[in-house]
Amino acid sequence: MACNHRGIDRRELLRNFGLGILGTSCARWLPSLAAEIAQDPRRRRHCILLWMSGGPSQTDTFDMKPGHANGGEFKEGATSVPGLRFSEHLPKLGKFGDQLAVVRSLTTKEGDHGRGTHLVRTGHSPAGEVAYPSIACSLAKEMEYESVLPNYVTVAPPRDVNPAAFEPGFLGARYAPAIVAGSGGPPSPGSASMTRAKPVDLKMEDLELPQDVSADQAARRLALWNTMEKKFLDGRHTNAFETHNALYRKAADLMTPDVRKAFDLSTESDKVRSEYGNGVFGQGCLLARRLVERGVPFVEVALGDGLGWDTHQDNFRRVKKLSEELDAGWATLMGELQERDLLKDTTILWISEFGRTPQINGNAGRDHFPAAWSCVFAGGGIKGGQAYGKTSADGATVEEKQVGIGDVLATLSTALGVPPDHENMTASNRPIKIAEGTPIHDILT
Amino acid sequence: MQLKRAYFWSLVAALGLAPFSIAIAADDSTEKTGASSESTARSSEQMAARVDELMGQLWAADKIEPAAQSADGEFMRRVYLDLNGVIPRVGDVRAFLADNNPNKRAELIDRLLNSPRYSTHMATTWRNRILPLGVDAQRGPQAVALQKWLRARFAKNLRYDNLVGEMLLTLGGDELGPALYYQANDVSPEKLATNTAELFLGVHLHCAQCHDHPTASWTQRDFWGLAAFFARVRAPEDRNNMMRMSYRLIDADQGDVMLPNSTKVVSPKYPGGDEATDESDHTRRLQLALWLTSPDNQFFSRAAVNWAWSQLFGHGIVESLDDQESVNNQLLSELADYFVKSNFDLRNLWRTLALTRAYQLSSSGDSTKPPEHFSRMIARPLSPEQLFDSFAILAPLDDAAPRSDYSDPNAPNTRLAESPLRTDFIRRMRPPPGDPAEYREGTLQALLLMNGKTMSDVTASGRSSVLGALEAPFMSDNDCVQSLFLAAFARQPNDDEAKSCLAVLADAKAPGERSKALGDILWALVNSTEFAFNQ
Repeated sequence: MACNHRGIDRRELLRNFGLGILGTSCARWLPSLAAEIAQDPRRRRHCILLWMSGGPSQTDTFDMKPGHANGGEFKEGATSVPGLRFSEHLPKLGKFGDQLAVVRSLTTKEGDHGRGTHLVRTGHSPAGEVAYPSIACSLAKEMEYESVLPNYVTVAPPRDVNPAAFEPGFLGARYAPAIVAGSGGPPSPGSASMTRAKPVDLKMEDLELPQDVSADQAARRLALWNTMEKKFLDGRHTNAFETHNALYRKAADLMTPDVRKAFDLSTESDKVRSEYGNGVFGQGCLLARRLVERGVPFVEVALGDGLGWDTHQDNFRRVKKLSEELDAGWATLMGELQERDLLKDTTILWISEFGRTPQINGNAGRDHFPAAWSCVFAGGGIKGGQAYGKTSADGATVEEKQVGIGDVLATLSTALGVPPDHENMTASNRPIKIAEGTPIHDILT
Repeated sequence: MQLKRAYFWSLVAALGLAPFSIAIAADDSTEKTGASSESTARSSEQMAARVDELMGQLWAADKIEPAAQSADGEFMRRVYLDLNGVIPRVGDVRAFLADNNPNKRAELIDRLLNSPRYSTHMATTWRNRILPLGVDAQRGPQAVALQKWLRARFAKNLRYDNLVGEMLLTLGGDELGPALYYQANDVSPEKLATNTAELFLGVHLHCAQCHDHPTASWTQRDFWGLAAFFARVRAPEDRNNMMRMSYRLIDADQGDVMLPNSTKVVSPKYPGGDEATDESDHTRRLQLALWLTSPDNQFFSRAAVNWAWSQLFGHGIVESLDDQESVNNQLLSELADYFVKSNFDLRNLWRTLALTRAYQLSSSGDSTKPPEHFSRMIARPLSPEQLFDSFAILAPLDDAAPRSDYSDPNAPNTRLAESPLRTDFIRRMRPPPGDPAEYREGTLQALLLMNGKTMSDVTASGRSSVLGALEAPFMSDNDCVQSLFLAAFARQPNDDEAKSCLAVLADAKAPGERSKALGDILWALVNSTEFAFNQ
């Protein structure tokens, strides 16, 4: 395995896997593993990617232009760091200003949603013929560790914008994320809103039994499966057979109530759930906290069903609403991670496919703008309390410390302890780096 | 045989710069199919016997006792998956097991090689070989076009040398298929050299890309000399190419490759051979194709035979064609010679290999023997395509409903779409590159198989054809269990297995319960390790 941090023999671990439905429960080793993690000097790190689909307006969030015609309706709001100001609609997040590093000098070259999404998520424009993996897949692969939980969990990914940008590409399907969606089919714009009365429930794809299969029936199936497997494997000592069998056991473990509990947000208090916001994003942030607590290395949460941040019209009303949802989910997540002493090991990146024009168009909207936009780092490995780089007074150009998407991805990789120049080989033996760029050392600890 | 070959290439040469017409000529000419080759070459039975002799010598020399011959069902499931990409239907299994004809295995091989599924399976296999992992997702219609192009050629049993020649000489155009090889390699001379050397010469030239290695047999001159043959292929950035309406390739008069970090132009040179000259009337590509597919080019035939063997055995005859020390060199040489003498006849090659004793050995037995001794069959996991198509043997999985996506509705070749359900399943199951005998999936793939829609369809009593047949009133519990085992594994259950399954049925006597219980048994069989592997 790529990373066997704690020197546990993989075989041994697989053998010790409980079989949940089939026999021993795995509940026993979950806490013990957590204790082991805490003791490990090379402690585990986590990443939470907050993906803002559609392209949020930097001018109305993290790179305000007060006093300029491009500035728009919003006022600046203070943060816990003097001189560092965000939008007035991000007040809770402002309290964590000392943990946040805003990069205000990002320049990219793709102004189309599909192409921009591919560029930002893989580090490459879609023209090339290598199937580049999403940065999340390649980082999660390097951060992999033996656990019954998936290595990379993603909440409500807007895959349709550019499917390849959300996939493991040449790394192969086993590095694909476990997909979590709001229950009750694809979320409609209404259901994602945090103003709904009750919080949404989240479900991991294929984790639940098919509708027409009862728990008893599933137990009967697995029991028969187990009997037959034992007979088949008895006397056949082939590694590949054992791997297949162990994976199914692991999947069966994942389906046990004890483990599924990780995804069951109803065990959280109503107060906590509503603090995060009742929509998919807020509850996704809550799930991210629960998964990080349980050792999952990589979690992604998307905000903006489909292309929610694509505010060509009615920018200010929509951005205000989205900001409130963002503020509740993200700030509560920061606070809860901090309380649990997990923030120092968890790097958060807030990013999208591009920013929006500083100019306001005739529909009180802003359009696609890759030339000068912002992303935000927070938490583990990040020197917070600063804005890096600078745009011009009208926001149209980068004036200081311009960075490209490769630099941003290399920074994320470095913050997580993964060398960005680590190479994966394609099937035709072409080495591909995790990120091609220079880490922004000024914002790394 | 030489005559036919010369005839084909004289056509190529006469038509000069219009290989598109060559493709048509190749299609129409039955001269080039490899079917009528018995007069000069040994029969595949004779060649298979020669392979048995060589393997026997190897086993005797190393004092290895090979595994027993495979049981009929084991062999049947194996040869179905290898030559047709699916498991056999339960009715065919019953008929084959009951057949007393001593020649039934050879007859089965012939039936499979002449089935339409043979061409489809070979096209899938080659498409996956040619296209880098993940390219399918980005280029759905083009990949399907390549699949169709390949399929038509395997159906006609086009000679292997002509197939490769046609692919390398493609000018693209409306014929999207083989040009995807160039497109997927970015029309880059380095990438084309690397992949052409791997696919058709079986050697890893790219190691020599940056500098010579003291121990390797290939030099930097070899790598860049090969790349130079592709230096003049261009994909013009005209409107049609930009719009992806078609993909056109041209052979320009100019264009060279240079050594890395230098301005030294490298002239075309055949790997390990002579330099080519631009004085010739032939384009650089044509010169390469002529050299590459020549009967005298041992790398070409050895690479083809070694690859075909690895498809059937899970391990090549030799690990690398550069390895002169392998115990199997004699075997490889003789098979390669035979392939050339039999006019690069692919069907005949598969037939020969499938007839050998080694191929028909059981997979059970001592696993500690080195794999290159082939003293038992190596189990290999089913590919995502084999898995899905085998599920479809158990239950119809067609989904006619089109899925809305971001593809251009005005694009040509709209019929170049595959079942979205199948495409999605394959995408989610595609393993990373690696040892074909290893199981390279993850937990999410196991969950997909256990709880996903495909499995629900296979095990739903209203849908599964296998389960449907068990509803008949005359079917006893015993009959049902037997049918399910034949359907999934092409074998009878042993007493122990039958007992476990009968116990499940005994607990489910209500009519609704019974069909559910049968579905549960099928679920357990189809999710088993035995089902997941070709053994």
